[in-house]
Amino acid sequence: MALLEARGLSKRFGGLDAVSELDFDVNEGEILGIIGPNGAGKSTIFNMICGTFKPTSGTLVFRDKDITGYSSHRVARSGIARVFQGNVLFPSSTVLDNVVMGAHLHTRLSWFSFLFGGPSARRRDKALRTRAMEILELVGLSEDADTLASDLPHGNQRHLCLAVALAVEPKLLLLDEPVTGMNTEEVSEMLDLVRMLREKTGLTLVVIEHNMKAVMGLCDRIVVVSHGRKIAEGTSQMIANDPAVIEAYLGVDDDAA
Amino acid sequence: MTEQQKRLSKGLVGVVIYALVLALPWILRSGLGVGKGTYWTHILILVGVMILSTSSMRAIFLTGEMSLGTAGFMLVGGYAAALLSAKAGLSPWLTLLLGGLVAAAVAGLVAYPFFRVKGIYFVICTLLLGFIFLYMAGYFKGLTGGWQGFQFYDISPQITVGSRTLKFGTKTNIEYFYLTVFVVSICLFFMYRMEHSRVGMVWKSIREADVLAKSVGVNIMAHKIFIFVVACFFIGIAGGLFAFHVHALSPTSTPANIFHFFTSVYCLMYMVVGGANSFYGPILGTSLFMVLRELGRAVGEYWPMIAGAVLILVVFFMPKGLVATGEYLPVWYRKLRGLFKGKTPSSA
Ligand SMILES: Nc1ncnc2c1ncn2[C@@H]1O[C@H](COP(=O)(O)OP(=O)(O)OP(=O)(O)O)[C@@H](O)[C@H]1O
Ligand SMILES: [Mg+2]
Repeated sequence: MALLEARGLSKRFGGLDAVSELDFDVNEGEILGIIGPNGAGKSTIFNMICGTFKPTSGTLVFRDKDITGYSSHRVARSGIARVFQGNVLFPSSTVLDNVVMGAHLHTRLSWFSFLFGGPSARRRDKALRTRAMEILELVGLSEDADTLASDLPHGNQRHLCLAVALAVEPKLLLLDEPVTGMNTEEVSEMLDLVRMLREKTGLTLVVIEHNMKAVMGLCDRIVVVSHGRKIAEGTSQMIANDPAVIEAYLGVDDDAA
Repeated sequence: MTEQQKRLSKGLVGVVIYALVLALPWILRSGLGVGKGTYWTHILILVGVMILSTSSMRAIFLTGEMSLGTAGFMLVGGYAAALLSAKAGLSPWLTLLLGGLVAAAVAGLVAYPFFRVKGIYFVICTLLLGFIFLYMAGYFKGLTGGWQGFQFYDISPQITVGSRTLKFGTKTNIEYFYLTVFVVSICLFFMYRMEHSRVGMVWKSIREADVLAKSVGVNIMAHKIFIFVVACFFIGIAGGLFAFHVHALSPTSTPANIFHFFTSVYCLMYMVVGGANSFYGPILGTSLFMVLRELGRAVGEYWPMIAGAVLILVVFFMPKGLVATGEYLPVWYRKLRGLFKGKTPSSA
């Protein structure tokens, strides 16, 4: 039984089939890559999993539970977290507060203690901050804990996005283009981090990526989508030699020119 | 240590200001003030009522949504409190609270459909709701006295100790002023604690990036409904405080046509001028604006124009509002000095 099962997943925007009849599984503990040219519908897949969009048709089953059409916060509650394609953060909050907010689901304060503080509230607040600091250390941002999120450079913002998602303590983590806009050094740093996370915490990941080299080295399996349809699925080698995949990418080059 | 000293000095400033507020009626009476003391006490009571309304409106704004239904919910709270006392004979102490609860209940009924939309659409919903309340108060003649309204001069909050009874706001306004300060302080205390607690942080996260807040598990709808209901509860209490001060309500209640939509706009203005980012912004903005208005009675009908001009100036030159004056002064000083020396102002 796979951790996440998508069956017949489709999304129509007006006359456009952004995603159509997509089937795929995400197995526990693996890193699954989703690749495809611009506008192929990759982000739309994440948006459907996370409840940003309701699928036009199809089902999503996560840990044997049908989560199709769940609202975003319920999806998070069931154990799926996400890093957005852009750097979506709480810009005028500190780096630490961003992560503390990420741990929203793990903060339980009674009415009384949240209004008036008190020792138990302070203890829990402190535990939460300690936990947030641990996560920041993991992604290498502990020195910037008191910086405003908007003041971080792009690469570090990307790491912070990851930290916020990790604070949710998900079973499944969705990364939408985690290394876009990074230099080679930052890319390898990020990839190492993702690998380390998987080894350390047994996290399952789905990674959307444009950077072919990055995906090939990182993912156990890859799903290729083009025009909203799955055109190939398999290991890096299988994908790299698939004529359909090569054609899809060459086709895009023509469009772009 | 410095943190502690900061808190201590902040506390001291608070105590001094609070003592000053409590002494205000006496200061004004002793002839130091301008005009007649009783009249000024009356104005101060209204200032208290409006501070409560403006601060509550700002609480809603903390989630990023702007409500222009403030006057409408004041009307609901005020009418509920007054009617329950005048027609059902309940004690004003109780109905003051019930007025808030009725306003909160009404807010709870409309909150879900309203928060299905965001931004300008939400503003329009709340705005129209305010008008609906106003016209309902005018049309249900049997209950509310219609556009003429109804009076309840003999009803006041009162305290009986042994054989002596203190009726608030019958002999002088001073007791009622203290009652207002007391009630408003309690409400503000709750709002302050909420804003500076975990929920406050969640509101901020919704305002800053609602998609991210959702994706880490924040139930945005629930939080928005919650703060809307709580804020309207406090706005309803403000309406009740107003009602038992003036002892007569109509949809066009004087002074200042308080239940009219303009009041909601004024609340917005007070908040922006004072500083929307700060808890103290609405308090400062409301006090200053309302007192200035009284001092400038001479300008009469030109007031909205002047108020508008001040608002525009503040928005342009002090976007953080008057609470941040301390931050702006040095900057302006440097710029002015630069001008006189004929240099371009440094941005440092
Ligand atoms: N909210 C929306 N409304 C209408 N069309 C949309 C919406 N979101 C996406 N689309 C369209 O759906 C298609 C797929 O978009 P999507 O963002 O999923 O692509 P993508 O594969 O993530 O591309 P990229 O690599 O550029 O991020 C595009 O043609 C896009 O214009
Ligand atoms: Mg995308």
